[in-house]
Amino acid sequence: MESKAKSLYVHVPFCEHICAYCDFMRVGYHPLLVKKYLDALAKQLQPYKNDRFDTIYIGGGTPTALHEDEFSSLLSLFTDLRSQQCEMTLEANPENFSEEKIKMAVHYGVNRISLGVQTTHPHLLKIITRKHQPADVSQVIELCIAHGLTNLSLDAMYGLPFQKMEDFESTLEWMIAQNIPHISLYALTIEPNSAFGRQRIEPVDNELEGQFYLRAIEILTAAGYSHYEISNFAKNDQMSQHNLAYWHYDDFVALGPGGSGKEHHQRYTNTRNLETYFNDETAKDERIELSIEDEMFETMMMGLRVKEGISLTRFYQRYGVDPKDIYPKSVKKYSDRGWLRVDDTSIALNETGRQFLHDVLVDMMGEVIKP
Amino acid sequence: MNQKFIRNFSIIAHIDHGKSTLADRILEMTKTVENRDMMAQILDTLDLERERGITIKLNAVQLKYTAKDNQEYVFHLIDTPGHVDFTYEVSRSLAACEGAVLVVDAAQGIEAQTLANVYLALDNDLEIIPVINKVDLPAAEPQRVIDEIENVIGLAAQDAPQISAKSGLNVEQVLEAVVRQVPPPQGDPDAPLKALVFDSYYDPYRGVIAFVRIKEGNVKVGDKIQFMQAKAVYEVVEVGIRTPKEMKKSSLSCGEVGWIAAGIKSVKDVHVGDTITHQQRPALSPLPGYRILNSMVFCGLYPVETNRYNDLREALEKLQLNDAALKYEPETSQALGFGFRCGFLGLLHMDVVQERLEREYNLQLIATAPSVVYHAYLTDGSMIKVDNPSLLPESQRIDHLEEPYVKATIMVPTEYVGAVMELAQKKRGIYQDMIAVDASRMHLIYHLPLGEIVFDFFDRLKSSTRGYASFDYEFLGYLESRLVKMDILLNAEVVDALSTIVHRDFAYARGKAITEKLRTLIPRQQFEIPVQAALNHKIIARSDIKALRKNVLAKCYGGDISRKKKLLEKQKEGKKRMKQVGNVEIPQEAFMAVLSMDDE
Repeated sequence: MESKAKSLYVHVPFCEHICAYCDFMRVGYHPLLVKKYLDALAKQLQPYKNDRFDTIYIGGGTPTALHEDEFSSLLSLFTDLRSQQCEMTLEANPENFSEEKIKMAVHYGVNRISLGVQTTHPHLLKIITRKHQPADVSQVIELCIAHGLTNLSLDAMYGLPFQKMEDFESTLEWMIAQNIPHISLYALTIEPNSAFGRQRIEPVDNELEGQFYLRAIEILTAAGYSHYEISNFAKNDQMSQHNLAYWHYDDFVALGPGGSGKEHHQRYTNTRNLETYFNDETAKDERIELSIEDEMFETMMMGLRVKEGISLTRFYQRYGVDPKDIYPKSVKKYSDRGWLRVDDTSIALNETGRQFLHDVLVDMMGEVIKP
Repeated sequence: MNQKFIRNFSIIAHIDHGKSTLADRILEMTKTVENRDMMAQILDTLDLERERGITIKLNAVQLKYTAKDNQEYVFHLIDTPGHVDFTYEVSRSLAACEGAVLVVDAAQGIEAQTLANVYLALDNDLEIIPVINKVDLPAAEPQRVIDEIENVIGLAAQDAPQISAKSGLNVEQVLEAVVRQVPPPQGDPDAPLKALVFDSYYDPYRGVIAFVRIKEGNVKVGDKIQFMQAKAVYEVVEVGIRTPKEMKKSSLSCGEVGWIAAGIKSVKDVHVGDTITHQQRPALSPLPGYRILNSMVFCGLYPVETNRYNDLREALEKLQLNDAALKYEPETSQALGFGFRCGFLGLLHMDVVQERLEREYNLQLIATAPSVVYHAYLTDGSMIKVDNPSLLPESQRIDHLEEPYVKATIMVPTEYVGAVMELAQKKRGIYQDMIAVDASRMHLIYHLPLGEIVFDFFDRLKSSTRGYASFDYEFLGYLESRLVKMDILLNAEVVDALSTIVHRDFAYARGKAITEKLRTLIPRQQFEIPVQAALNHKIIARSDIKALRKNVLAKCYGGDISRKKKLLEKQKEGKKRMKQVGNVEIPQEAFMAVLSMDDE
C-alpha cells in the first residue's frame, strides 16, 4: 500500500491587483467568484477529508486578498486536516493582512507566514507594481509576532529593473534586523505572460544577477542564516517543511485552480480555467504519468537544490538503485571537479555546484541508464 | 526523324528574369503538359530548387510545335542551371543546342549573369534570340532594355519579342522565332556515333541515366557504347526522350536529344562533356570542350553528434550518385572529431549540399568556414595543395604561397560604383576595367582572390549596393600572395577547425574581429575563456568570454517541476547543437563566424 501524501498545497487565485512580474494563475478579486471558488474548493477537498497533513501551504495569488468572512471560510476548511505537528503556512501580502485576519489565521491553526516583501525601496516597489509601502511590512511583522506568529518568512527579489546593489543589500539588512527566522530569495525572471514580458523588459545580465546572488549568500550567512536551499535561508533550523517536501520529492496534493500536485506516480495541474473549475473541480490541464526514470531524475533535480542533498537510503528504498549507478558520468565529472560530494549516506552539491545546478542536471538528463 | 524540322535550344537568363516561367508557358502552349498537370515551373525537379527559385539539375524536354507554316517541328528544350557555380555544365548544355533564347527582364535589364551566359552561348556558336520579358510590369522599359542589349551585347534586338511569360502574352512569337532563327542540327546521320553527354542522374533501379545530344550517327538499344574520356564500355539497355514524362524509344538519331540507360553503376563514369561513341565503330576524336571539374571551394562537414558519422558518410555517398561534382574525403579534426573535407564547385553548390544533408538526411552538421585550394611551395622545391587551412605547413617550411584568382564581373548602378570599388579594394581586388552599360549602370571588372569571395564578398556586395549589384566570376589562375595561417585559441588551445588563411596585411584586423565575434557567439561557461588569434604562435588579438556566474533558477515551487524540466530539456537541446572542444562548448554558428564579421 502506498503511503498517502503528507503535504497539501492550496492555490488561492485572487489578487487585488496583478504584479508586473507575475504569470501565475490569478484573477482580480470579485466576491461572486470567490464564493464559487470556496464552494468548489470544499468539494475538491472531500476525498481528502480523512487525511492528516504534516504541511499545508495556502498560497496564490494572494490568499489575504479575500475579505474577512471569505478568509475565515477558506481557513476553516483546513483546520481538521492538520496532523499534530502540522506546519501550516499562509502566504500574505503586507497591504491586506489586517490584524483581524492575523487573529483568524492564528485561530485556524496557521503557524507560519510567508510575507511578500520583495524590496524595501518605494521606487522599486512601484516598478514591480506592488501596492504596499515599507511601513506596512514593519507593522504586519509586529502584529504577527504580537499574536504569536513568530515563524515568519520574508521574500526578497533581486535583478529588478534599476535595482542597485546597495538597494538589495539594504533590503536584506533590514530583513535581518527584523529578527525573523526565514528568508527566501527570488531572482526576477521575465515571464512572457507577465506584464514585464509583454513590455519586453530585458532580463538582468547574468553577471549582475550572479553578483546579487553571491552577495546575498555572503550577507545572510554572516548574519547566522543557513543557506539550506538554493534560494532559501533559515535560522535555528526553522526551514520550510512544506518546501522540503517538494525538494525531497515527496507526494503532495494540490487544490485550487492552477495548482500542481504529485500523487501516486502522477503529476498534475488543476485546470486554470475558473469556469471549468467551478463546474468540475477535478478537471486537470495536465496529467503526466511518471516513469521510474522521470522520478529518479526529478528526485535529483529537486534534491540537489538542498544543502543536505539526497539521502542514498531513501533513493534506494524508492528505486532500488544508487544514483551513482544511474548517473555515473555526471557523478564522476562533478566529483572530480569538487562540486559533488558522495558519501555513505548522501549525495549533495557544494555551494558552487548548486550555482550551476542546471549544468549538472542537463548532463544527468543526457545519461539515461535504465536500472 | 527529319533533321530539318528539329530545333534544339536553351533559355538563358539572370535569376528571376523569368526563365522557368517561360519554359512553363512553352510546355503549355505546345500542349506538352496539360494545364491540370502543370506544376508551376516543371523543369525544376528538386524541392530545393523550387524553393530557392534556382535550377540546379538540368533537364531536357521534347515538344512538338506546329508553326505558322503548318509544318510540325520537334523542339528540344534544354534547361540550364542559372548559377555561376555551374558554368561548365551550362556550357555543355549549350553545346547541345543550336540556339538560345535570351530572356531579359524589361525592368531590370542586363545583369552580370545575363552577360556571362550570353558569352557562353556565343562561345558555342549559338543563334541568340533576345526576348524582353515582364513587359506588363509598371516598371517595364522595353526600349531601354532593347538598347542595352544592342549596346552591351551587340545583338540586334529591335524585333525582339516583348512578352509576359506569366500571362502568355506574345510567347508564340518566341516559338516562331525559334523555328525561323535557330538552325536545324547539322551532323551526318551515317557517321560514327558522337553523342554529347550534358547531364546525368542516378536512378536506383536502372543506374545512371545519361542525357545526350546526338551530334553524329545514331544509337539504339543493344549497342555497345564507349565513353571516350572515361573509357568505360557499356551496352545500351534503353533509350528515350522526355516529354517531360519519360518515353522509351528504340533509337535516338542524329540531331535528337534524349537519354540513355546502360546499367551504369556510378556517375563517376558519366562525365558531363564526355562523348559517347560505338565500341565497334568508334569516332576518330571526341567532341571538343571536355573538362575535368575541379572543386573550387572546400569545407569540413562534421556531424554534431559524433555517432552519426556513418550516416553522414552514407548520405554523402547517396548525394554523390547524382552529383559528380561533389567531392569528399574523410578527415579528422582535433576539435570536431571525424568528418569529411568536401569539395564544391562554388558557394551555392556548398549551400545546397549542406541543406540537402540536413533536410533530406536529417543530419545536424557543423560546417567549417569555406576555404579555397592554396598552392604551398615548400623550401625543398616541392608544391603541395592545401584545402584545409589547419594543414598548412609551418611557415619556415614554406617558400611562398599562391592562391586562386578569379575575374569578377560586377554590374552596378552608377551611384554605387564608389562603394563597389572600395569593397573590391578591401578585398584585394585588382582593377581591370570599367564600362558604361548605359547612363545609369556600370560594368566593373576586377581580378579578385577567390578566397575573399568565399569569405563574405557576396554579402558585402549586397549590403553596400542595397542589393542592386549583380555579380559573376570565372576562374583566372593562381597568383602569389603574402598569406599566413591564423590560428584561433580557445582557453589557450588551438581549435584546428577555426584556423583560416588570411593575407598578412589584414591579419590583425581580422584577428581582432573574429575573436570579438566568437566572444559574442560562444555562450558563457563556468569559467572565463580567453579567445585568442595567433600568427605563428604569436598572439595578435584577444577577447575574453566572461565566466557564467550561475546557471540555476532561484526559486522552485512544487508546481514548477514540469516547467523546470521543460527548461532543462531546452537547455539540453541547445547543448546538443554544441561541440565540446576541450573544456569549452562551442555552438555550430561559431565555426562559420569568420564569414560574418564586421571587420574593417
